[in-house]
Amino acid sequence: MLGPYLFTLLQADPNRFNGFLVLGYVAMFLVGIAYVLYLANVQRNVEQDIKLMQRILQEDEISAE
Amino acid sequence: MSRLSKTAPILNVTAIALIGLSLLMVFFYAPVEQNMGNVYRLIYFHVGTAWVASLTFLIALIGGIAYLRTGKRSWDTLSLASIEVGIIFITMTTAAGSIWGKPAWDTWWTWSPRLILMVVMWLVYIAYFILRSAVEDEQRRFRFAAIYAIAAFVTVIMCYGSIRVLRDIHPVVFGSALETAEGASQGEAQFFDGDAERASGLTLAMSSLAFTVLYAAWVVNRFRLRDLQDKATQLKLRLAARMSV
Amino acid sequence: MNFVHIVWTIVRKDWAIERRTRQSLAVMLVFALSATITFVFAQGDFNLNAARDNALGLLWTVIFLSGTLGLNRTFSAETETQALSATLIAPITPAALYIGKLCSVLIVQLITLLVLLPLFVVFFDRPIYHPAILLILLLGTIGYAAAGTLVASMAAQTRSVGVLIPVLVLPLTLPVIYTAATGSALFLAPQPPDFNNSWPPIALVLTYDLLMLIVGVMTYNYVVEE
Repeated sequence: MLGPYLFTLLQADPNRFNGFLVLGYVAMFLVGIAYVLYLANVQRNVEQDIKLMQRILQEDEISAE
Repeated sequence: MSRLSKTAPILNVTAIALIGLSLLMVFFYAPVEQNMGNVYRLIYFHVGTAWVASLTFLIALIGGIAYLRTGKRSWDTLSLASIEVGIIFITMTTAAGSIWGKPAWDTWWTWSPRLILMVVMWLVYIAYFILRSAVEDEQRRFRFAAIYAIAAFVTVIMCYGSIRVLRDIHPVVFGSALETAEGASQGEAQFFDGDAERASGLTLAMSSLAFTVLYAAWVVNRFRLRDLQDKATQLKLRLAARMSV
Repeated sequence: MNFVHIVWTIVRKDWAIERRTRQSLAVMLVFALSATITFVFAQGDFNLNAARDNALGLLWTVIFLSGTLGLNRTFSAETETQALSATLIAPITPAALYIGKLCSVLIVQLITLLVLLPLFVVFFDRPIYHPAILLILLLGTIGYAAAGTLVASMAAQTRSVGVLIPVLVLPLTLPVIYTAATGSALFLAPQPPDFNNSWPPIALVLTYDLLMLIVGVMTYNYVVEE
């Protein structure tokens, strides 16, 4: 009679470590997102540099005429 | 260059979609495991990133050899991008593995051969970037980076070789929890069989595919970035020429 | 000039320099002994028993770290005297140059090892002269020298050679040092391994050696080209 009750006690809750599960996936995502942000930042800086230099060159050409 | 601009967004979207799909599979399709509960689901992304990281280093090796033989800069960019992504993936693998290890085997870390050599791999490829930044002449930088990418792959081979070899002969001196940790960190953790195994295998395959596509997307973006940087350098030279007149 | 002749000439040249300046050997030995002493008292207040248990590991650690110093000296000397570029003017196959420099580095490291081995046996009273251990020590040193010569040759052509050599050599050689150390430790265990368990670590170290040598020989012409 005690058998089935003890059996359910022995079956531990599969969700008991879900905090770690979420933490793990969040950690992986953060690393990935950090990399993406880094790349985007470098790209943005380069594009800004290009725009600036194109503008300067344009002004230079205009003033040379 | 317009070919890159066209493929990049496609790859980006595909990568995100596949990762989303993998996540769905990981959380809803993969079977439930009794011993440690749902936290085992970390394995799908953990192994996915680990496997694709090795792929990136292999492609970096190929890029290194190809650069030395052809001298074409794109091979160097491929190696550079691949190693960068590889380092990111190894970081992800280690983070996931450590966080999984705590509830599963009550330890954040264990000094098993696989883990040691993974950290060494990470260091070796970080050193790749230190080498690059130390060489001023561009042609020489590409050449040396290529040679290093080739030599560095030997560490990857050693990592996988050691796992096979040392597992068999390493004396078992730890208590049971760490023993299992060593075993799992060293290899093929068999959790399921039958239908559940198929579902698990499919989820793992999907996760690996998603990370491979993500790797491809990142590489293509790297190429675009390089083109932009080239353009910027060209403009800088033109500007400098004008200023000196 | 055939291959062996070239290698011998390079080794002789480097040995002549080394004999006169004694730079590499001196720094390696001084470092090795100082480090050994440090490691002994780092393990619990001069606890001889703790150090005794770790004797072989200590030896590997010392080899690993002092090797970079030796490489540093060997390859810094190259940059100071521009000897590397001078050697390149002669029509030598780069592979021969690599093997030559490798032998020079190896000789210095093996001499250091030969000095350290009896000292370690005396200090720590462990039978590290077991033939299998000696073999692994030799193979491990060869692998270390192969990888070290390759990357140090590259580092020597940059401005930050002193910084770059440890950064490149240490991670790259860790796999072979780790494998060799754990493999050699098996032979000090109370029950030494039988043949089936003995050859895998040796095979692994040998694999690293061969792979690194192949990489070095095949890429060295790209290392030295102008």
